Amino acid sequence: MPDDLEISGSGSVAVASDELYASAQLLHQLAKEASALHHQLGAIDRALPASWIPEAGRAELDIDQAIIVMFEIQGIASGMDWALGTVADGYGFVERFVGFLVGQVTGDLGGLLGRVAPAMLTSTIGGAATLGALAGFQVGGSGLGRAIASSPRRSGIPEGSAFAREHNEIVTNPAMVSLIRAAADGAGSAALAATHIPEPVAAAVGLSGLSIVAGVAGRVGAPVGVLSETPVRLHSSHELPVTNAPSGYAERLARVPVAESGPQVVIERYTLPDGPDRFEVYITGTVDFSPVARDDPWDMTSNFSNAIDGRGGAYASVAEAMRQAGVEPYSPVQFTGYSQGGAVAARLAASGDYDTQGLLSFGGPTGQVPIPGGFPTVLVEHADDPVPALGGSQDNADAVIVRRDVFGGTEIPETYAVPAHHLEYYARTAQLMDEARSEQVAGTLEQLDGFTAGATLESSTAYRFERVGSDELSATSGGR
Amino acid sequence: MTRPQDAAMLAALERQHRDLSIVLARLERARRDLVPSPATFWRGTARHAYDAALDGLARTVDAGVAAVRASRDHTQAAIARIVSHAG
Repeated sequence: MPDDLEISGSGSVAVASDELYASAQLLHQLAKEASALHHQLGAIDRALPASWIPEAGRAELDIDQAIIVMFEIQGIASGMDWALGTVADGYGFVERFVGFLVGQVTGDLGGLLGRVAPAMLTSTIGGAATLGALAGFQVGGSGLGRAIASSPRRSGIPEGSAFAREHNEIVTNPAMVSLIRAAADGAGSAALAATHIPEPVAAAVGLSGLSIVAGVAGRVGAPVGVLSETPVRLHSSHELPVTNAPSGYAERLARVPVAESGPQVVIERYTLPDGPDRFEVYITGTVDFSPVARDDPWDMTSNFSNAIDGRGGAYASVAEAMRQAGVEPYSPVQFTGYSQGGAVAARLAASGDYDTQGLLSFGGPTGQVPIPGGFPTVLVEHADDPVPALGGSQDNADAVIVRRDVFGGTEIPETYAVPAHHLEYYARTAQLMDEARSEQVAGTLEQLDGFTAGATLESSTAYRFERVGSDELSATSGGR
Repeated sequence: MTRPQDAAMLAALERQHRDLSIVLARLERARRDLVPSPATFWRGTARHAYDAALDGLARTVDAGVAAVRASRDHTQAAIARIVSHAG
């Protein structure tokens, strides 16, 4: 159902709805409370009943009865809690097992097709992920490829052609999204087979899954200026009004900059009576869907760089913004990102270059980014949004994974080509997360909000970066 | 005039009454806050089974509340009898 949240991760194989987890928590607490009351009743310093006070004797019997009932409550509540946990674990296990099988099959099939017909790479199952990741290319007749034509962006990805909007149910189908996710995992095999690179060689240099595709595509495209990285530089920055620390998931997402041609990064600096300054970093999503790097670093080239090692233009821009904001390696930092911003945030957190204290990604393709544990991480992915699926299977088992089927059972609006990726729907998910009661979602939010507890917001700065063009670079080097 | 053994009994009953009142308040709070509402995450037979179990749990907690309340009320009545006997 559209307003149901599905929770997984947190180091467990369990997958279940927020409501199920919340019920399990209540039952767990009830069992504990019944146990405590059982002991409290047993410890009552009872008055010795005298035969001439029958009420005292009846009270004695009632206490004994209550002790037995407390024991019963404990047993029933514990049993139901266990049953719910088993259901969640069982579902999670089945999902993972099926995912494993699908991954094996698509990997093998991708490799086979890559060997048989390298030219078909972009139209194999593995190629579907390549297409998806390429996003701006209108090749292969892929629904996603055609969907993301270069039309205006409005709080998400481009609106797409009329055809793409009319047929957006294709890419908004959770089954298609699962296929894209599985294809992303299998795409590496296809790319390796097509380029005759043995898998062990790729593994030896740390490439797997999507990173192989991105690496291969980058190598192939670079000579013709496609997916070719460039340096970046600060275009402008300005101060934003200082308000208050963010509270809740929705408020965090609302601070991610999304304005067209506006800032891509916002950094808030907080001071504490003792200890170093701490920072909240908000990162926007993909702006330019052209495969050729142009002005904006939040482009497809950065998306591909993220898939390889995360050191693309968008990553470099945020790193520079953080440096300018005064972030030191020991400065506590929390990241919030939307779409590509989520992937960049995950890469920054995974880099080990910062004292990351929290990570929140909405719709980011983060599946294959090895996010370390040790800090609260929440990865939000719509089940009918193909963009997070482009990141491959979600392997960050220690993170809290929140999924929502935005249009499950309801009519899909024809406003956008890929509606479930749009910010307004993630904003709704964030609202639902704020109302969630499960320990995974509500408890992790407490940790995220606790980051700025007792701190004073000193400044909020918005940054805009741009790529340095190759002609500019050669002019600079020629002038030396 | 309250006899010494009645005074000791009275003090013990008052302690018992106070302890039972605390237990009753906690148990009523648990009944209100910790028994989950009927869920929507099940379908078909599983939902009937879960709802039946939930119903059974709620009835058991209600029985617990009733037992503790009865013991407290009986304790109160015992206190009243001693006081009236002494009077």
